[in-house]
Amino acid sequence: MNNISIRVRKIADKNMRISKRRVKMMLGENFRELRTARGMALKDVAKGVASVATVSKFENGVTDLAAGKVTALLKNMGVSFREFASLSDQSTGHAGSFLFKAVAAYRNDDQPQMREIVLEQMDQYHKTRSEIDFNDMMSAAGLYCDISGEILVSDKDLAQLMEKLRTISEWNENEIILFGNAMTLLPDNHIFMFARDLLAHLDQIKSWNMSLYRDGWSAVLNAVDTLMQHEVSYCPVLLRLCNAEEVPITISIILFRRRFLTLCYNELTEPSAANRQKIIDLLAILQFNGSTKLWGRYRRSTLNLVGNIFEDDEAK
Amino acid sequence: MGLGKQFKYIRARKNFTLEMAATGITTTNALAAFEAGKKDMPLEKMQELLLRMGVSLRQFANISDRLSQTSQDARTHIHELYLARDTAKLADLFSNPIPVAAGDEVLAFLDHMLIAGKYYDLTGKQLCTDEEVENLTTMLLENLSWDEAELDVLFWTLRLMNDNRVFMLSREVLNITESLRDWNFALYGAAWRSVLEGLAVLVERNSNFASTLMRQIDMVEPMAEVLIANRSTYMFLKAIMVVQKEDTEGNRELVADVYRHILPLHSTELEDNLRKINVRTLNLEL
Repeated sequence: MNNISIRVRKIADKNMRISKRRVKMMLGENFRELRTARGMALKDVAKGVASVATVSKFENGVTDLAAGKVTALLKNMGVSFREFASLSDQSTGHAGSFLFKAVAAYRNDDQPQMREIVLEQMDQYHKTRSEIDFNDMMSAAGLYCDISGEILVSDKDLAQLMEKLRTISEWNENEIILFGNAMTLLPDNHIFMFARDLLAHLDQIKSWNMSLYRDGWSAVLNAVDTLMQHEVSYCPVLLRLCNAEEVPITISIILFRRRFLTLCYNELTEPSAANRQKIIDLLAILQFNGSTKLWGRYRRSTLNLVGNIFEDDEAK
Repeated sequence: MGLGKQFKYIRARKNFTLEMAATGITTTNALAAFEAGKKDMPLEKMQELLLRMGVSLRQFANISDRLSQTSQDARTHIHELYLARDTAKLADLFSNPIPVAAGDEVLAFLDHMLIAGKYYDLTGKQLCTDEEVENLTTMLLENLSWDEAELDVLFWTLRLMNDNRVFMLSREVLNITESLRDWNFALYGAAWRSVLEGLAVLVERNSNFASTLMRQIDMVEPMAEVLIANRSTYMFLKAIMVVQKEDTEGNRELVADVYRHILPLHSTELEDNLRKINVRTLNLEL
């Protein structure tokens, strides 16, 4: 399964309950990082908006700055508010942010580390009861369940998750990341239901956020992947719906993965040398492109879904 | 859209009253004034208010895109006309642009040139003046922040520019790719797509700038592995450049080989793109 949309940034502290002072410092730090990366001086950025002293104090986390002023300063820098805000995200989107640590452990197949992360986040959530902490907890728990088969969260939390997904009025980033990562915790029929719903809404998302559109597709294909491993009978409908959609070449990885899952499904239901060869030929694109890490991941995925179709002893 | 308005939009969707949202962080009056655009609010406070509603600053910023639809709508409309090959309507839209609000002139000009670019792709005819192309290039070269709109326009108007400009702009975008990767992967992919389009144009013109751009590309961090189509396109262009330098049977075979390799992907779009490049350069049997 592919984890959803994690972007990397600098290291922050583990277990950090974001305190007010920390937030202030982070905003200022990130601002400075963006400014120095562009080689801009304080006075150029401050021009017409605030005094150099004020901006400097903001960078050092000593003063507050009004949101409108920050936006104007960013404009002087040529940085979008979106880029600035991405750096300041506490749960997703940068190294040291909780989800990133979880994903790193997940990718390394590090069960003990992942288990610890989930348990710690469960503590965190039970302290704060915040929505963001709940989402992070479920995402991590889902990723952990994917590699270990163990569900660490309580039945009550699971019920809350299902309720939350059932009552989605709009698929935004929160919901897509949550569903994409936590789906292994859900019963198959729910995975199918939510995936189908998300798929139906993807076109809408496409018009205003390409990144989210891609993440949405990732989540849907995660569902296909998961269902193929649990209960293949849900797959033909979902795959047919997926293949009916036009996917732009700009997100070619989605095209690739959709094709991959389709071929694996064909092999599972009608095993043949021809079908196996098609999978091998598809993966050969990655080898040919020199995409060794990706090739490795798809090999493992193949082993997971259809077994060992490779004629070498790399596959165990 | 103003920050206050955006905030109000989110508060409404999350079903928070002014009181619920403000309590303990700020006053209802201050919040109301902020939402109405009458008073500003410390960024940190705004972040706190958002977090209480379960929204991070980044998500808040993302939502503003959803709300400022107008330019996206215009571009979607233009693309629909392009896909329908409706050159008449495109020409009409070019000559009769919709009047824009003050402050939107730049976006309007970008849309204007976007139409010219797509029209050129369909007909080989240039609707805009050389001066307009030069204005566009200057604007893009001076541009500090590349976003979807700028990258889109660049992608479609590169063919209208001379070799030197194509090279310079491609190099500009190349240099920002790595910084985009971390926080906006879709934009990162769009940037690489534009760079490769620049390279394709130079290769098709058999320009000396092609190998220079290629060398620049090889000097930066390679494209992410998941950009499968982009990586394949790059290999294809490289193989063609080898033939352009030394036309041998073996070198030609390499070009065909790259093409063959992408077939299992079943992407007519990618196959068409590579075929187009082939037709405009070596015109081999693929």
